[in-house]
Amino acid sequence: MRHKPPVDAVICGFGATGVLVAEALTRAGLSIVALERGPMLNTAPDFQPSVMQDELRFQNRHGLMVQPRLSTQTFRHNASETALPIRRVGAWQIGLGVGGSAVHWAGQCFRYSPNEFRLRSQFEHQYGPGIFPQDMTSQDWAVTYDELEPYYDRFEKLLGVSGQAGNIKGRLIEGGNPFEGPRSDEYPNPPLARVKATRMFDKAAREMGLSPYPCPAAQASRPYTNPLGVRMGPCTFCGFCSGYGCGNYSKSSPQTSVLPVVLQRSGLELRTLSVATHILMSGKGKDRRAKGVVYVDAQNEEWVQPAEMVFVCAFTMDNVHLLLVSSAGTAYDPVSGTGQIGRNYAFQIWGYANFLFKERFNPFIGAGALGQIVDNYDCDNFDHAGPLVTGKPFVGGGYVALFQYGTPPIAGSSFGSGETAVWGAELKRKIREEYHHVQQVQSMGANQSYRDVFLDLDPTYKDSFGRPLLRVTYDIKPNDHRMSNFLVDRCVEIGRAMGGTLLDRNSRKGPFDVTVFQTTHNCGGTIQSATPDKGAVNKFGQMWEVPNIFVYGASQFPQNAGRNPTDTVGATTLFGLDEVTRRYLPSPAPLVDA
Amino acid sequence: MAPTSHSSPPKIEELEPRWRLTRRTILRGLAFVVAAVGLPRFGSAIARAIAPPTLQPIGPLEFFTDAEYAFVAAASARFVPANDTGPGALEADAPRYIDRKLAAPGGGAAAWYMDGPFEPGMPTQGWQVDLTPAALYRRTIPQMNNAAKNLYGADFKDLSAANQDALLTAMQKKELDADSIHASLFFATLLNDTIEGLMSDPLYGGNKDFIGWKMIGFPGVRYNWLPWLDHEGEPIDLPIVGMYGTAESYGARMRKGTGP
Ligand SMILES: Cc1cc2nc3c(=O)[nH]c(=O)nc-3n(C[C@H](O)[C@H](O)[C@H](O)COP(=O)(O)OP(=O)(O)OC[C@H]3O[C@@H](n4cnc5c(N)ncnc54)[C@H](O)[C@@H]3O)c2cc1C
Ligand code: SF4
Repeated sequence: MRHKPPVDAVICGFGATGVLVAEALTRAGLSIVALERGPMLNTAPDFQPSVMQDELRFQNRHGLMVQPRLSTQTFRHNASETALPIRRVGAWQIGLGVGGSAVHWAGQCFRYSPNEFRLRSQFEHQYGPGIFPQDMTSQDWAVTYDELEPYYDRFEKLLGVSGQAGNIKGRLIEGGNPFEGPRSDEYPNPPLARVKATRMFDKAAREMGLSPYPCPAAQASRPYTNPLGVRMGPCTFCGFCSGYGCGNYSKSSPQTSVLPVVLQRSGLELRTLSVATHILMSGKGKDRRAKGVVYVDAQNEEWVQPAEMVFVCAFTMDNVHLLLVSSAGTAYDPVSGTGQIGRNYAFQIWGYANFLFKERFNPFIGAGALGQIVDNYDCDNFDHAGPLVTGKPFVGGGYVALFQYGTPPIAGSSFGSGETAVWGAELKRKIREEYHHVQQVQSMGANQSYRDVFLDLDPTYKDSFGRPLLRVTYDIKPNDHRMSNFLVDRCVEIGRAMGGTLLDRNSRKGPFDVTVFQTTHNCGGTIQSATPDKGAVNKFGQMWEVPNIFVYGASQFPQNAGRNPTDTVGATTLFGLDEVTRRYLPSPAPLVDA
Repeated sequence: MAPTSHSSPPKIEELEPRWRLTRRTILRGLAFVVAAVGLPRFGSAIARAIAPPTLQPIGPLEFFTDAEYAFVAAASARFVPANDTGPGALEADAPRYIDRKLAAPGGGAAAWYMDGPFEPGMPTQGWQVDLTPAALYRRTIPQMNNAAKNLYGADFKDLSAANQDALLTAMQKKELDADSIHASLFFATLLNDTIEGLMSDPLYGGNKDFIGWKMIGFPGVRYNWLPWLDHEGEPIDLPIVGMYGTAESYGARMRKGTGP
């Protein structure tokens, strides 16, 4: 293995969080190397309309996503099953290349409710500790909403989010989300325009006494220049949005928010097609430190990149994988409940109900975050012991929404799967008669954490670098089934109130299906905590056990909330980085006393 | 390390770089394909999967034998039939799309994880057979023709529409699955591939004359729908275009002399 000249910091993964680290550290004058396993990607030439508007290549063949051949996980429902490799892209679709998953994300850019950060204490306080099943390990975050607020604000301004504030410094604003935490400022751009379906949702929800608001969208509603001087143009609703890169400089991504500035800074060297395979470790106990990162480049050569600090920004799955294969931190043991790396893995319980309308919609028009939302059923915004909840109360909730993302023709022609897949004259009828008349009301349900739901290393299957694959042990538990049924019941109410005829509903019954795409909102595994016995990192993202490793991304989340993660991923990263530049760089040491 | 200190979180304006570029950042990144091709250990498979497609005229079959093609053509005609509402998947050349897909390196699995051991697993654990899609077609078509002969006395392609539907239903309902017969997996693969061939951009070999997009009412790939945002969902009267333009331009380039 050959050695590169040492640098101050190395970043593993150059997606949503990696570019924020690069921005902060180059601003602080550090020398850094960023390793990205995928290629360089840029608006021109990679995302142009003549390249991008190809549903087959980018949705069905996952052109912008990491392919299992390069990186995958094994999956089982519980410890008594044998985990088997996820051989084709399935339930989640992780990015590959500069910008990461934040190139092909949908751009639904939500803050979490303030009580989400104190989920355990809030629900215990309101409903008694008995509401938490024995095996549920959901816990309070180490950071609070108030601490994060300035960083939410900063992240939303970097991204040029288009939205309607609902609460500015405690003053409620009509048309916004009345449940949102107090904001210090407006969204940088007004909300996106609406289409017929989102207007219908808004009207029906309002008449039901709910509080609909436009989805905060990482699509610019007007020309915008962010605080770094990077410019965006208004979204044209091309409909090739979630799953695609934007050729119009309209969807917020690292390419349209941070990269143009950061790539000009002299402190940064970006190495693409470079897979970080291990963190080089030394020392024991209190002296355990990272010395750098081992990576393999495009010529298949293995290199050591020595560094004073290591930033792990490789998305939830690879964050955990990299730490486990490097023995950085103690692996979680579900039997004894000790160790932190791999603990509290969670996903997102995404449910929906499909409706047929007499109205026509042109569903190919759309944008990833073109939608109306209600938060009435999220977190503790409603009484979980009240009349709406039939049966045993549950922890958590989620939003209910209607999105018109843009449904391209292959997706619009597939109805059902497996034994229930529709074909024949009936499929043709549905293609001809339903595509323009179907809308989906959906719920983004929270997912609690459990003692026996976790990530570790697979004993059998290896990747092309000889490393054991990451093993996912995951299923949906009764609490979360009850929550999801509740939310999908609400979807059905709203869809009916809109005048729709219910076609089908899915609240994810039965064993978790790793073959069906749901979301890429995987979280946990290196969770943040107030004390070292409860998580892997402190609230600044610094590892308790290895103080010169910082881990950013949704792997910090102790459980998943009832909404999309990235605004909170961005805010927690910026919050951590401020402390790193303010206190760690002058005197490298633990930022929170153990 | 160069220390920096803030007494409070920096304001957004302070995110501007404090200094200016002194040397251009070394960008090792190359374009999509060029670079990916240089990846011996992990890259070539991925490069093939995501490489930009090129428009290639339709010629002789690239993967299927005539007998295999006949089976796939007959099945696609049952999956999305031609009827009084217009042409179906066969007329759109969906089977030619599938032929080309399976002929590609890796047989449709270039980017999959295909290391063993292979164990059956649960359906919710996904594809666990030691076969690429190409190998699955090659192995299962004769098995299904055998089943057709046993049950109805002829190859699948020669059965009545009703018997073809009965056999396809048996495949879908797992009634023909056995140790080395993956009939339900093949059914799902064939249905998926047929829909892809009907509805993908014509440059992949199917969706001939935009038959699929006309069927569903998709006016094609256009970059700006702003003028139609308040259109109340009314049909949009525009000529259909794909990534390479109108039906005429595809017809001329992909099927010489067989334009619409
Ligand atoms: C289809 C889709 C839709 C989504 N929609 C939304 C949405 O609407 N709202 C929302 O909030 N979130 C959404 N998300 C999630 C969002 O994209 C992520 O939360 C966000 O990108 C996470 O940032 P990250 O930095 O943790 O990971 P990423 O942005 O994925 O970046 C990780 C990077 O690390 C690289 N990498 C990984 N391992 C290695 C290694 N070993 N060596 C070198 N490089 C490595 C990867 O290639 C990647 O570029 C969506 C995601 C997907 C896939
Ligand atoms: S819908 Fe808007 S933001 Fe999304 S890809 Fe199209 S133009 Fe870009």
